[in-house]
Amino acid sequence: MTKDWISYLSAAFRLVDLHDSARSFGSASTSLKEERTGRRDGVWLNLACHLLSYLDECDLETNEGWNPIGPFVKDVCGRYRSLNDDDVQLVISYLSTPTEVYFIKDEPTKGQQRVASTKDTALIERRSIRGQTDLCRLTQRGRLAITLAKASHNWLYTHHDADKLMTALLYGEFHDIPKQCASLGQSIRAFAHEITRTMEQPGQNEVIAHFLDRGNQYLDSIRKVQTAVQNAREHLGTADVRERLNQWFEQNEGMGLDLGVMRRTLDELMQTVERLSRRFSAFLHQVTDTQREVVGAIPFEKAALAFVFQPPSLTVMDMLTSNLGAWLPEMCFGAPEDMQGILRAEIDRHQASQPKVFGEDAGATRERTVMELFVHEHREAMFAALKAGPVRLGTALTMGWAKIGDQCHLTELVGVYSAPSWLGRGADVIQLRIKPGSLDARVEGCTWLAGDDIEMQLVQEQGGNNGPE
Amino acid sequence: MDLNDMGQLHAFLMRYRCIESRPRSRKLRRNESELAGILIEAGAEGLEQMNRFLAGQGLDLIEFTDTDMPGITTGGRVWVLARSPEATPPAFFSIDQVMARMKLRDDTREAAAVWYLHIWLIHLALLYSHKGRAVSAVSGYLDSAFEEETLIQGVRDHIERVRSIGLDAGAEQRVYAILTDERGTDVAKRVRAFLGLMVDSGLLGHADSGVYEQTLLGAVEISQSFSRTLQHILPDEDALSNIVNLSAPVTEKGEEEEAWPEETE
Repeated sequence: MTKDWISYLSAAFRLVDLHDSARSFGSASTSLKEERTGRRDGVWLNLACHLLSYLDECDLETNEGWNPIGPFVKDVCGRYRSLNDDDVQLVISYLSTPTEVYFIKDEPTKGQQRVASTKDTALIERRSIRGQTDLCRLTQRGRLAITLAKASHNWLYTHHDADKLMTALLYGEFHDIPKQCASLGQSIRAFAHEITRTMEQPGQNEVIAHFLDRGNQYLDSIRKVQTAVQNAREHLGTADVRERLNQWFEQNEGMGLDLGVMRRTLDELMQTVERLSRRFSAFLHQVTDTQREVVGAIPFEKAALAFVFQPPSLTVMDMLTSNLGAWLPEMCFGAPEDMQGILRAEIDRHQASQPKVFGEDAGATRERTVMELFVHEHREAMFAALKAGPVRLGTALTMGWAKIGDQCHLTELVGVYSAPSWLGRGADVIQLRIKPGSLDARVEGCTWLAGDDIEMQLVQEQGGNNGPE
Repeated sequence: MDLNDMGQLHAFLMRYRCIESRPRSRKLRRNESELAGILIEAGAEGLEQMNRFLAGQGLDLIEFTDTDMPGITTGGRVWVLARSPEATPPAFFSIDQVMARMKLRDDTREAAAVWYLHIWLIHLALLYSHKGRAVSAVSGYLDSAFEEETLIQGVRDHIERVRSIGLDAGAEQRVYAILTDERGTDVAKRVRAFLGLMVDSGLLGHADSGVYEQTLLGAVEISQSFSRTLQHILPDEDALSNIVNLSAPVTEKGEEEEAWPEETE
């Protein structure tokens, strides 16, 4: 029982702390105080939770009527030996005394914001005779708190949210549907991720036992959600709803919502529920029928140190790398985008040779293609460098050959490295070699070239150094 | 799904190892959206067909939806090409290229392998041990970002520890010589080469400049294959404690709860 309250409360504590902060804008920053006042034994919280839950139970029968606190006092005094009546009165005082909460409120009419406050914070009401409380009941706020606390912990209540889809359709509140679907989808995913995390961690026996104990209830709840979404989807197809939707649509044009969008949203939600259903069934199957293999934390640093004393053989190291480490395919797999560079050059050339439609010199002198411009610009420098020795693509980049002025000409440079005949000498004069994995260069700040480098080498007419790698 | 689709999927997966229908932190790659469309349309049957084709190569194509795994964009799906834990990796997976890229100067093949292994383990310590994360915790990939500098420092600390133990305490001579023979910026260069390889293999990704994070594929492969590979090679706990006691005490965050090997339930 306290569990529900803890997940509800722990979600609110930091917000309350921030509410209580006295700091004003721009004042010197101070470190946050993380120490809470109090006895740190959780006893008062426990008593309060019990009191609320006792009053909630009474309320089922008395229907918002007053309830005697005698049975509650008797019960808790049996649990805590040294507890006396005054202690219980303190708990009642706390829960029944309102405190003021300040917040900022929008004033839509004036387009402004103003500070507002509420004192509607008491969770119970009391009736006292001679200074001693004898009767209590929940306030509206208290009932809401109990509902929220229950919902905060348990996924089993989600199907009630799913039923709201139908309600929205019945009342013609169509704009609520996407919001409802999104929030349901979110809670379904959160629940599915809880399952994922449970499966991944060792020592989650308690959580697993909970799921196993209530497996059927969870499956039932998932089925109910499924049915609710299914019903909403079918209902959306009825003539009655369609007619109302059309009317609504006429009044709310521009909301970007039509029958198609709503159908798709519901379909997607349906698929999400179906996936959850499969996932939960698989989870139950996995924890009951087969052995769950979970590996906990491993001290990898110590392991690395141990391998200095007992090193694995080279074969074992290679086995490890090929099973778990980095790998690169030994052969090439061509993909259409590999040809991208060539296509671009082709398009450029094609465009450059188009005759100008307007202009007097059409057909006179043909404009140079980008590639020709590039070769013209760098040809001499390239040959000069090649005469001194082989030049890799990586080196060529550092020599600024990928640019003419401020223009990037990487495509052309790579083109020359793929087809050196662009330099105007026979292919037999220039030899290319692949240098595996040695290319690692940044071009123009945003393009990063990595992989095999290409080396271009001038072959001397008389033999020269042309032995293969 | 026809043979053309399968060929395109294969080529793309060989190159990137992963297809995301709505990528979380990067732009869509060329053809990625179409390929994701093919896989979605082909459904469970198509995925099985693709997996029958990949099984012969020792590979698995694993699908994740937003319901299975946190961090997948709402409504999105991710497929990762993982090495099957049951099979030997295909013959066209090259370790030679990996080792060639790990080499500095006239390093031997063995030196490259030793460096790879040790940097890899220190990188695993950053991803798992330091965060108290279980090896099975695939969803932890979301919270796995680390800085290049941190890894470099981690490797330097490791080498210092090896040095401080020294040969007298029983360190293996060759491994000791390889790890302690580093000069100047060697460690940084080796770590960068390692990171480049891991990114090219789709096991790590760039989160930001100088920041890397584990990919879903990286987390899946470790969780699937650890107990079948590395676990058998790790020295037992006693041997490990003896070795660790020799070294200077090193503060390691989050190691209090470390359980040595496996928990089966």
